[in-house]
Amino acid sequence: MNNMNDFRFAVRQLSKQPAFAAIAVITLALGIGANTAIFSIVNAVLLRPLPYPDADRIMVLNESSGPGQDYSVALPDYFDWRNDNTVFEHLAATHKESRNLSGIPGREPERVSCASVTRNFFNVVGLPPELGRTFSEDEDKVGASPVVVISDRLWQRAFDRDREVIGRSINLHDQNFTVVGVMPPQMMSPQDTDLWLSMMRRSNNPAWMDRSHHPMIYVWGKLKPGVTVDQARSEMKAIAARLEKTYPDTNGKEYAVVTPLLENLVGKYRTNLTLLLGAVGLVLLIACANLANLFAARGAARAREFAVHAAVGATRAQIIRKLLVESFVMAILGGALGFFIAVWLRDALIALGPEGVSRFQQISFDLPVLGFTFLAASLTTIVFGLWPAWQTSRADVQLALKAGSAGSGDPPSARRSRDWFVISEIAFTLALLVAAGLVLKSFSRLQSLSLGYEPRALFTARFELPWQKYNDHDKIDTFVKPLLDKVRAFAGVQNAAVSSNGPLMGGWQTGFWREENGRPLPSDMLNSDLEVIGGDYFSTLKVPLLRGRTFNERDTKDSPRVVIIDQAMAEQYFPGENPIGKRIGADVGNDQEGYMMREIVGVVARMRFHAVDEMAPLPVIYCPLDQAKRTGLALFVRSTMTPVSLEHSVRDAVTSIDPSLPVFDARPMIDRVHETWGAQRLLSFLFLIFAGLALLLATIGLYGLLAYTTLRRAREIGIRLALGARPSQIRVLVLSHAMQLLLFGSVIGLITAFAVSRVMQSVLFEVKAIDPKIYLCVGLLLFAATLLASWIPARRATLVDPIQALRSE
Amino acid sequence: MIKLRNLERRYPLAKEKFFYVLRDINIDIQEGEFISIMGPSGAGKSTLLHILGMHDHGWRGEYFFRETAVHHLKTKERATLRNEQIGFVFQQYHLLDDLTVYENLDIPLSYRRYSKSERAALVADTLDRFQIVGKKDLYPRQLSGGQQQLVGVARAIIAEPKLLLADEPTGNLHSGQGEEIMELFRKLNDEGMTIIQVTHSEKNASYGKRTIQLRDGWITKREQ
Ligand SMILES: Nc1ncnc2c1ncn2[C@@H]1O[C@H](COP(=O)(O)OP(=O)(O)O)[C@@H](O)[C@H]1O
Ligand SMILES: [Mg+2]
Repeated sequence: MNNMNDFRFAVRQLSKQPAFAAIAVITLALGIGANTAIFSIVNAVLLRPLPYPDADRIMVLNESSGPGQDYSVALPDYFDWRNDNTVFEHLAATHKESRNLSGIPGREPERVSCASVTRNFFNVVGLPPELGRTFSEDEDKVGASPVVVISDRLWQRAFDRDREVIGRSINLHDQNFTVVGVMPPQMMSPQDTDLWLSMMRRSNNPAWMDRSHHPMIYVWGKLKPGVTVDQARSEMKAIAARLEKTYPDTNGKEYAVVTPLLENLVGKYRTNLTLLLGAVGLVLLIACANLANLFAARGAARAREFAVHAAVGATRAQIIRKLLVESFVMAILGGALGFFIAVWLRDALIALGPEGVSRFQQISFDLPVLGFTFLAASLTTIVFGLWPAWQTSRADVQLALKAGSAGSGDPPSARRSRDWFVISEIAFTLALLVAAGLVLKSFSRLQSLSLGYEPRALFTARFELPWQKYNDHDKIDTFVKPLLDKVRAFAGVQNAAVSSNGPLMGGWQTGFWREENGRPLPSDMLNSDLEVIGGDYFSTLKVPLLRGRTFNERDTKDSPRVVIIDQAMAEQYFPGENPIGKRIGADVGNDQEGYMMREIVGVVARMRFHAVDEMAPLPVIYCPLDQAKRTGLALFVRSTMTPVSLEHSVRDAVTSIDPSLPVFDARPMIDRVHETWGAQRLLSFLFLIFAGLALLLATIGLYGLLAYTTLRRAREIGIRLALGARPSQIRVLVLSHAMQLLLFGSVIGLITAFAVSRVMQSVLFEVKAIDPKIYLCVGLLLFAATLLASWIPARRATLVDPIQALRSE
Repeated sequence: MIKLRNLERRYPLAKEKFFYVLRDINIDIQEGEFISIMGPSGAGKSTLLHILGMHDHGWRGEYFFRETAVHHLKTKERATLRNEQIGFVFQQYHLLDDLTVYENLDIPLSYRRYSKSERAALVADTLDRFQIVGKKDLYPRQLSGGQQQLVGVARAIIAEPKLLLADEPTGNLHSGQGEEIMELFRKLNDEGMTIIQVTHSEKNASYGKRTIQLRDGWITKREQ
């Protein structure tokens, strides 16, 4: 009953001062809203469990020869792992690829994302098919009949959920497969797969049987119940050590990396999200500090009221409770409003968010998020409500009840706490501003980065030639040559080219050695990226040729093998030499020839092939398409035409050569570049918002404190005026208080900022953690904010009327 | 030293209606005088003192301070004049709670053109003169009322004013302490300081050489 009374009392108190209540609720709503929005991302990406049973027991395995030297698994190694391990219930192999899907009546050919998987992959995931079945043992063998399991998404899209789909035949890369099952909607592994094929049917593929080959096979395992990740790691380590002994040529220094599936999917976002959560948490703390001061000021103004309560018998605990209920009502209101702000923010976040971050698009406001909001609101109450309540309850009854007592000032301890609240606000704000400065600078570095090629006015599209049909150089030529001729003939097209692994389209690595050094063991091979090119590749991408020549019509499948290398390789492996005419051994991926000596005929400038922020780029070897068979190709067109009309024309050109071939992923190159900025862009945007919010809150907080202090110090100011102080000297009094707070706040803020910068280093691109320019700007900004916040209080202080302030009555 | 002619102070009550706190005040005060202003509460004594002290600017009439026509001065010029010539003692002492005795004494100097060493010397002299050297590091709350007012007086005269204004300086003190302050005033007056004090007590008024009676804003009686 008492609770209800307190509650009603609180509501009445707050509605009596609507301006105060509104400021408090809005401050809280901003703080809680921002926190809820970020938490909803963290929840969606990091915390929400995967939609598979016992998902925490699912591991992804790859091979590695050291940190940052991760690669996929050699199939023979997988077989050994499967036979030797005792920790996994199931150990499956997967291989991602994309194929052209056709043969469905009434549907254009399209490119679909496929995975070849061993049949126990479905046991690892642990989901039964929603229709039909998965592969039988006989279907997962060399020479077995081709069958396929499809995703719910594809079932919906291509078959309109027709249950008769089981037993139907579909065409993938000109080969017929029989549909045997449909997986439930939540099954998308590995990585957005629409079609699952049997892997062991192709296990006799010579490239796969080679232990030195790591052909993008990744292993998925399900731990036996009760087995820890560490146990699995140490057993896999032991197995790798045995393999190293048995196969020293191929397995030297190789070990297996075991990563929980969730970590594998989202681990790389953890730092970013933790940073954001930290930043937004600071904003909430700043909001709390503001509210604490606001409530304390109000408590002081109501000292009389509570003195009366105390005089008629209220205990201190009862007074504290009354006040806490008030702040709780406030927090609930703020929390509710904040929740709506977060819902609204979510759409902005999704729009700004990076593409391809697993689970990012599925941000929902489910129970955990609601719970978080409630928890944030409750904790906030304690943080901002307890101190003022305690302070107010301490008020001296006699003093407060003395008629007209202006309360010459509250105890120095209270004043000091108030100062410290604002000092910590300034400190947090400084740290946040520095962090925002670093992220922004990093983002602008990224944007102004020279890629080594010109992505503007460059159009790209991809296609997959079915390898069964385009199974030799001449057949590929009959497609590529006419396509390039047609595209070049479009009005407004300057140049066109094709390549196998263009910038930002995934890589292909090869080992290589200089002829003079002799062929090394596979494990000692030097590594480079390999790009297979046709047409006017370098002029289309605007990559300058530094030495020698580009490829021409005389470089055919029958002529001597030639390559072009990039500047990085020239500098690293041919320092001070002219590499033209020198030869290197390299495997360009022709099954028939393997490693061969190839003559360097040209050197081109360096391109950034992978994400724009690649850390340790590999050198690049370019090889002519006529000397390396490739069926997965990207088309590059340098043109002034609009992307829309280009896409049309390109599709028409492709269809006129091969009607069953889908063109996919057609878009301007600059879009691909922008896409790689997604994470940085979101990070910059949010840090900017949070730092701005912090600055705003801290400025308001500082203003509030100074205004309140000026009010409390009216008597002192009056005395000083009476004793001869000039208005400018009174202004200095207020300003120097503000500057003291700024100074203390800045010192603490600097220490915090140093620490924060260190943590942030890993997400920054070409920006040093300690950047004097950023600190200078932040300093100026804070100084300006301090001046702004103290202007009105300082002015008001000079207007104190000593006669009023010193009145004896 | 001071010449007031037809001075009046009024507050607006309603439209076109005024409440007169002081009206038609004419006073002449010579250098070296010790004047007591008496009168019932609300008579306008404090108001008069604030006008003399050039805090209040809302009056009409003429106010000459040592040949200077105060009524013609701008606020800033009055402030300069006040800083050079006038010191204040308050009934509630109005010492600053956060400052020590030493620092309280230093405030008026900090607002005037004194060098650091001059300030230190003056504060030291004053502490000595008022025999409160031992208390210089104490805070006001650690002093008795009489001691606080002693500091208040010391602070009022430290910048060497010609005129000391005191609004019921002993109002909060018991009689023993009050006497001490009055003795101090007499001594200061003997040294040449002009003093104008507001007081309720006939006894305190008797320390002065002349009394001005105020009643409802009018001067009712002057004693020699
Ligand atoms: N700001 C003001 N507005 C209206 N009336 C005022 C104001 N200040 C003082 N008074 C009135 O002027 C009269 C004289 O006040 P004061 O000079 O303080 O009296 P005293 O010091 O003699 O007791 C009182 O009646 C008081 O109410
Ligand atoms: Mg008075």
